[in-house]
Amino acid sequence: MDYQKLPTTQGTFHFLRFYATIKSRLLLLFLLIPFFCRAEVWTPENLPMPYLQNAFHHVCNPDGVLSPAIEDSINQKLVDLEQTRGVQAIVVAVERVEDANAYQFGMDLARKYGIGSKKQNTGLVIVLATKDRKYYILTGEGLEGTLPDAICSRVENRIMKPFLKQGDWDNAMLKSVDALVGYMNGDESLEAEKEEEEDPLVVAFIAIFVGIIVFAFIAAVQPKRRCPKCGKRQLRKIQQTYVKVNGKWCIRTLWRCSVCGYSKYTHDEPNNGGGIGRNTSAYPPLFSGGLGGGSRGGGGFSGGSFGGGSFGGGGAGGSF
Amino acid sequence: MKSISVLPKSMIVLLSFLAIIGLGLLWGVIVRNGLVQEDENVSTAWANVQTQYQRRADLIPNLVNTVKGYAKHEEQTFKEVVEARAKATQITVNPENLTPEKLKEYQAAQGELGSALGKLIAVSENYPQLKANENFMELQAQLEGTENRINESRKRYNESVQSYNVKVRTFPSNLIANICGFQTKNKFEADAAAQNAPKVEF
Repeated sequence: MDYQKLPTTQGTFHFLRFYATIKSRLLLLFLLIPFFCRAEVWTPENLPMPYLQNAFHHVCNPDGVLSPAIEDSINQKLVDLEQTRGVQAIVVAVERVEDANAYQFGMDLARKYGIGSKKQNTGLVIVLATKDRKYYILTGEGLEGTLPDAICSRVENRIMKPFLKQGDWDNAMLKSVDALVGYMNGDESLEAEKEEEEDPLVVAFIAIFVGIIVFAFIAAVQPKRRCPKCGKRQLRKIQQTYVKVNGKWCIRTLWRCSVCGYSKYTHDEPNNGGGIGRNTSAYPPLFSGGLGGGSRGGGGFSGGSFGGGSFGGGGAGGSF
Repeated sequence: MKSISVLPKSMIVLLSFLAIIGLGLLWGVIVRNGLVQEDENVSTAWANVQTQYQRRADLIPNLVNTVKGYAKHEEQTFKEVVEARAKATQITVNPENLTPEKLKEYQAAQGELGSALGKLIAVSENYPQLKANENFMELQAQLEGTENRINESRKRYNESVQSYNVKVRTFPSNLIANICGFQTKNKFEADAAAQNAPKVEF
């Protein structure tokens, strides 16, 4: 009996296990569906703009249309372009854009962010929508002289379109960017915007002013202690220096009472990582952080910002 | 202690009255300057619209000549384009006399030119050699870019008129607008040609 029953129970067990795996697989499948169908239709609102986080990212490639190596290479070219010619260029390579209208998408994107500096209006937006089979090069108002519509159209017809027809998105974008950058580098009138130079006198004045305020602030927050001689709370830190006492470095602090003129030195070990309870003497603890000065927080890349340039509708595009 | 009254009561009343009038005048001047600024913005936007239309008109001789080289038998279309261009370039409107009638007239003439150009482009579709000509392709790209610029400049003009009109018509700035003679301005309306589906004639 037992031998006969065993296979069935085992069978049920197997079936349950099988069912459980299927169920989890199905669940996994459902969870993965958004990744499989990434046919997102991008609008200027939902398109991620990596440039804002990192000024070295001029390419928006959320669908992975371009290979990472090509993306890097285009980024590098556009970073150089921005530094030498002051042209802020954004390349968008996606599968679909709103209404399959690359022009309107690029225009709205440029308007939303204000691509290009406000003064020179030298912004450039290149849109490729592979599944819509549309492309458009949009020039900011200040670039219309360097890249007239006819030139944009020529670059598209001679370089971009043949690659696009072969489905070679990488080369289509890379070679077109090369050609456009070539035109822009040939235009000596394009210049990177200089930082506005301040009058040195004004700078010195501001520096002195800020210095005074900081000094006054520090003096105000310096702890005052009770003077052991006259009993007034006017004992202040006057000076701090490092001195060697018994072969060990100490911080020597000069205290002076501003009422009776009583002065005193104290010696403390530098509290680099020391316990809190160390400075519980009759004298105040030293300002923490040490005298070496804190390091500025940082690391990572700084985000870029758009200048508010305007686009008047220049540029050329088409479909392939 | 006896309070020393430096000014009689009537004097104080008079002075505060004068102060209120002075503040009112100051406000009026500020509002008026704002209106002048808005008015200038509209003028600039209008000048830009005219520039873009002129740009299109300047493209036409080149375009017609290129098409002529390939499509010799389309005399009628060429004639229409050239006539429409002549008519459209005759009308220039100063921002000072942008009356609704003038604006309509201007828009109608430009619309006519636009549809004549549309016909020209449609005709050129019949000539494969012309379509493959790089010069023609670039001219077409320029024309398309110019149409985009026209639309963009019209949009900006309408936006500037909107902002100006709101200032002229809303309280309290409308008081100053009335006194100084600022009047509402007219926007572009959607093209009649754009509203009606294009007629296909055989």
